[in-house]
Amino acid sequence: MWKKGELEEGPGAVSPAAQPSSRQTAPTGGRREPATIGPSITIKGEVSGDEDLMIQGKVDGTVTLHQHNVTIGQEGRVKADVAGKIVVVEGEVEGDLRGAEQVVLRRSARVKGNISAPRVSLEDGARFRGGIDMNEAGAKASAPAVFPADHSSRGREAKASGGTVDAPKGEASKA
Amino acid sequence: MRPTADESPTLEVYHSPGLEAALRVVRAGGGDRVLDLGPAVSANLEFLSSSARHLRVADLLSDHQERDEADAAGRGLLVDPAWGPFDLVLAWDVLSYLEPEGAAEVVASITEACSPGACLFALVTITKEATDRSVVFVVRDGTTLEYRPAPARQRHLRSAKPAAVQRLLAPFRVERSFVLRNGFQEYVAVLE
Repeated sequence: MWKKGELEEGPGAVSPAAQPSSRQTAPTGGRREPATIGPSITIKGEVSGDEDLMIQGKVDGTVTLHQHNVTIGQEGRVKADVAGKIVVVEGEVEGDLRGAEQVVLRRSARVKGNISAPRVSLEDGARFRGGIDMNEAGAKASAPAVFPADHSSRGREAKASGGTVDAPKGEASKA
Repeated sequence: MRPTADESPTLEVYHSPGLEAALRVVRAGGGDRVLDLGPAVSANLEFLSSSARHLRVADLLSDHQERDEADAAGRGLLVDPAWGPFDLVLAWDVLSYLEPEGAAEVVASITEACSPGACLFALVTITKEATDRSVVFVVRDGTTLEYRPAPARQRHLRSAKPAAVQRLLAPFRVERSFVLRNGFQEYVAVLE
């Protein structure tokens, strides 16, 4: 289950750490802009590195920055599997997204592929088709039960008010 | 009430006995693999991922718009069996936007992607007047749904009688159905 704190932030909310990494702390303690693949750049092959990355261009291949954040900007067009600590998508991705901490799909995101991360945040308006797998640690921490018990009192109230008619065994009652 | 073509769509919240029953079935079976045929909705994702170990969002109707091989009737819209097996399929009102033959193809492909005992939750409009205004269903909790207009998704919503729905869903067996005042009928069916 999503951790309580995340739910309180609301759908699409992103922790400060998940914001596009324009002000990440460099190993030396100073501020450091993420490396950027600009809109006019096309890369075919493997992208890896040891700093945060903003993609505004086109990438075909793989993007692997396990210890750092990857942001696919609104102009980014990626056909690649992307792995990072936090992966934020504002543009288009065709490929699998793997976030060690979180995957965030912004309103403008268009993603076709699978997502694997302990936490996934999706802003309304984002387009996504694919599978979502919570990793083992995240799932265990957040989902102690399979589809936790519902609120039976709510159901009674609704039935008492005549809002629904229950017709068991497939035979619908007349409303 | 669900908006007609002439009314402004509004957000509506209602108690969903069908969703409640479907979750109960899945819970009893210990299932945790969910297929959502609707579009990706953040609230649904949050609710489902809280308990589902594996969740797949198929967004079939967007597929319908984008894929050349999917014709106007909805033929060619398929769920890949390799995505499964699933324990719960949330069809929402997706099948109501398809011609019967397209809907039957979708159900057949869902069947292949599910294990026996899997549960299917579907909504069908029961109002006589058709509407071209489609909605998106949003899970508030395990017993409450809301539906919002989907302005970018103008589609013709077809009504269907219970017998036709039961034939369509076979080999899923309709365990329960619920007629709602808002113009929908909810179905909970289990794969035999």
